[in-house]
Amino acid sequence: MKTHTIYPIPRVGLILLLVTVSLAIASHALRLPVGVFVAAIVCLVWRIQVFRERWVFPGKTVRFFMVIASFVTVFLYYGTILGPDAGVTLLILAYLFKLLEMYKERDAFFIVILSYFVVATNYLFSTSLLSSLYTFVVVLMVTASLVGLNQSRKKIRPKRTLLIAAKLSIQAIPVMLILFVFVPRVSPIWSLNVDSDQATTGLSDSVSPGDISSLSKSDELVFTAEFNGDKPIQEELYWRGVTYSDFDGRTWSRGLRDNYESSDSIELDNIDYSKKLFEFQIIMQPNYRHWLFSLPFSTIDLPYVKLTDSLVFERKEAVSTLLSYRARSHPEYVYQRHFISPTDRERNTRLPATDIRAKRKAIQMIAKVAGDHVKYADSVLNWFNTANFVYTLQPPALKVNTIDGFLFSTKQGFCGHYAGAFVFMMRAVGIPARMIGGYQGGDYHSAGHLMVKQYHAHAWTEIWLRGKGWVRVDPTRAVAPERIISGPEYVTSDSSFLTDSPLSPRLFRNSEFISSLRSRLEHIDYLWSRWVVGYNNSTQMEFLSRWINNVTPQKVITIMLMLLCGVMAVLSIYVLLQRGKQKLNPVDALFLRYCDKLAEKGLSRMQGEGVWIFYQRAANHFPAQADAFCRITQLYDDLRYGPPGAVNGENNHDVSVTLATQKNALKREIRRLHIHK
Amino acid sequence: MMDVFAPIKDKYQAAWRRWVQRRSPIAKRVELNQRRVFIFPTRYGFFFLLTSFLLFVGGVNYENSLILNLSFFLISLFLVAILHTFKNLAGLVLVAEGTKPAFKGQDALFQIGMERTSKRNHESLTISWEGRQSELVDVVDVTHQNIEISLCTYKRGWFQPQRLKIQSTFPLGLLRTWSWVQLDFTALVYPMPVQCEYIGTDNQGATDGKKKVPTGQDDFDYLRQYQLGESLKNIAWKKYANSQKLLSKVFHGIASDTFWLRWGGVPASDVELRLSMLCYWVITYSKENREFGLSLPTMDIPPAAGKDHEMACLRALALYGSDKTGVDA
Repeated sequence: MKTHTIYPIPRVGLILLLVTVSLAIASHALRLPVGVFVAAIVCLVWRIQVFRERWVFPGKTVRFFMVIASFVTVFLYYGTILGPDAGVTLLILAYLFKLLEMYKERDAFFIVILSYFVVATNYLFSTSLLSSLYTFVVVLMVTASLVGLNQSRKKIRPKRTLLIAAKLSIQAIPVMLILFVFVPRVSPIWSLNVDSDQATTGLSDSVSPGDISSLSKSDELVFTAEFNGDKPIQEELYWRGVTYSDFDGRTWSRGLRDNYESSDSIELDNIDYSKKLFEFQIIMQPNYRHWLFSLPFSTIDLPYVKLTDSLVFERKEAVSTLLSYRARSHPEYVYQRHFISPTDRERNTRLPATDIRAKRKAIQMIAKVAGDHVKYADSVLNWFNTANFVYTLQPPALKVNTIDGFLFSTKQGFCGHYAGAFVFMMRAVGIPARMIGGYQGGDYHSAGHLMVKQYHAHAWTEIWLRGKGWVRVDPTRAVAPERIISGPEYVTSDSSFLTDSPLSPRLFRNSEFISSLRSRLEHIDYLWSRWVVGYNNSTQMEFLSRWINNVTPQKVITIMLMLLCGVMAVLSIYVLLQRGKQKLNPVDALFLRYCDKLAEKGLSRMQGEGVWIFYQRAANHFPAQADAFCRITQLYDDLRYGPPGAVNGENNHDVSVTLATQKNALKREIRRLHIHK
Repeated sequence: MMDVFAPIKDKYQAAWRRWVQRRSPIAKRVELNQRRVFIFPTRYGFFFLLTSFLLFVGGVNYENSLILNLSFFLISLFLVAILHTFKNLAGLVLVAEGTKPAFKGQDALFQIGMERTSKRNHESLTISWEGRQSELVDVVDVTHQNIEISLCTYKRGWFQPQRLKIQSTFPLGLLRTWSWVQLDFTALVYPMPVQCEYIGTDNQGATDGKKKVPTGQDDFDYLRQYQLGESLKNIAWKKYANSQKLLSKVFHGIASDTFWLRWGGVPASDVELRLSMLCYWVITYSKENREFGLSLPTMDIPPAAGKDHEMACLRALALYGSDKTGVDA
């Protein structure tokens, strides 16, 4: 065995470092494989045993084996050693193993630095207010360990170390805030992709019957929208997300063509729109998808985003963190009024060879209206409306020929069923049609912004009519118009709505307290998302332009530097001229409390007034309490100015005991004192 | 090339020394104020800044506000740490408390007092001095704290160490603050004791009759050349009759083991070695609690015993040949 001289880490430093490591790893707890926790416990116990000089650090062979084992395990678990999840797991394992390789002071420092990175990677996955508060605690602990490592090795209580760290951190906050607000946000230097394989709820690349009904059980926030100026009415809130053009008889899916790389931004000249305009700011929760939500037809202010030819937004990177963008929407628009390309037409009329009954029905129905597309669409909607179709979140399962099964036997379904059936009926007679996935409606928060949640998930359709372009048709509306006008909870009579969210405010409409609490929490969360997590270039400009005319980077930097100098100057004066606190004698403190009680009643002791003279005045004012005043003053006098033996009572046990009882008596007297005339 | 730059370098170094000297002149009591306290990041500090830069780049690329904020927090923490690190040293007063003499080659002890000028605490301070480094010292919740530093001695005589460096990286270890302090401190360094045979006889060595007044009249000790002014009573008249030499009888006060350690009584010609050997005998006799006198070419110390006498003898040996014999430690 080689003998290493091991860096004698201060005890408090080590304790704090181990606590920090545990807390930092715990912030990743839900994402990590269980094996990491086993490794964490082994490493922590091992490190403690090394400190207690029971065990020694692992040798080179063991460490080499540990590194190889972790790479193999991570590869087996994730199928890769790259990517955010595998990368973070490897980082955390390295972080743990470093604990068992602490030979030098710089190894301990390296663990501190790694802690900051472990915290930072946590922000890649979670940006909620709660987890951010937690990471603040972790960062505080990291700072405390750094202090602990720099304290002398003598016995120091961790509380003192923590207090020093807290003081430093709190003093660092003003500068941090100035930097946060003013440092110009630059666009990414190079592009990084955080495509995580995290399970997410929400719309997906394809939709099968029933998918959307499972979303209606969740009240997870999808995005918030804050309108500047006019707010659209509920019926206009069709938040467009994905177009599903391909149907295989069971599942509707978006084509491969609709991704960022293979699609082109459309020419805005092809769209005619009126002057009517809605402007809004969207803050989107990460959904790990490439699409963005907006009202049609709109433009948004993000780089690396394309508006595809089906009028949906495709972003180059998946939305892996909170994303904030401004959109301008022209609700009255006509797209591809006279002409669609043959490939588009072919794609949007293609059907599988299934569901013969529905196709036959379609041909009968179009014959009745003499081939008029508009009248045909109306008659299909009318059929949905009159032929005992039921809107339900729990429709019976459909096996094969899902369209036929739905239209002719079960007649029970959800927006996905109606939209699917409608597109099918249109395509069956050659009308270009496609399904649109997104969200419909939203809940206005009392603070004014709109919150769109998973239960607002909706599917509707678009058909192409010559001379009118693509026209939105929502077949669900024919069956359950309340769904669109009032919101999803008014539609269903069954109890499956929001069954996954037992505490949703929607279910507690009658409980004033819970719903107002929920609403307040949601608002705090919204503000956090809007102004902190979503603080990007445009938010920054918006915020700064409230205070500064004509925001330019030069102006921003100048103001920032001036503020920084100011804050640092104040801080320097505070820190460097601070003379430390004079500790008050505990007996004096008690007496001052007595004086405060009297002062509350309008009798305050004058500067330099002797205690007995003050007693005279107090006794004259409140004769009822004169005895109590006398006792208090006497006790104070004895304690402070009594015989010298009583003052230096440490030497004499008996005297110190009487001192303590006297002090307690004084404390009791003052606590009991109730002054009245 | 070296020769070309050497004068410039010397000049520069001299200027630097003068500058430091001007900023912290020698004194018994030195307060570390902003004129004397310096601050610079440690390598950890630079690494810390690099970390916040990396986090900044990461935050920009992932467009993640919270990562950016963490990076801003680290920068702010660094700025705040500048103030606190500086504060940890500024306001401290160093006092030259006292020294303990040592034999050459051994460590001389220097006691430095640390006092605070306010209620402010000073934590985890170290003193580097003459190649030695102290433990971490805290001046926390006390107004005075003493620290002892032992410095290696290389030369007999008065030892005045170079300026010392007091430094600290508290609280975060990201910055180092330090100050050069020249405390008015001298320690006495005795010669290194060298064991030897004492070969001297009583007639050898220095003879300064006036000073060597015998302490008693009762015990006859030895004879020596009569010198003018000596009492006629002490002349050994019998010897004079025999040898025609005028000798005086020297009497001794107490025991017959009263010695004179004489310059010539040790077997060495080198001055330093001679002093070392005399030093050995001073220690040995003191240990045996014998009475002895010390006779050096420049001064004589009359015979006596005890700790004070030993100190006086060692001091005389230490300062032999130096001008500053009068300086008191």
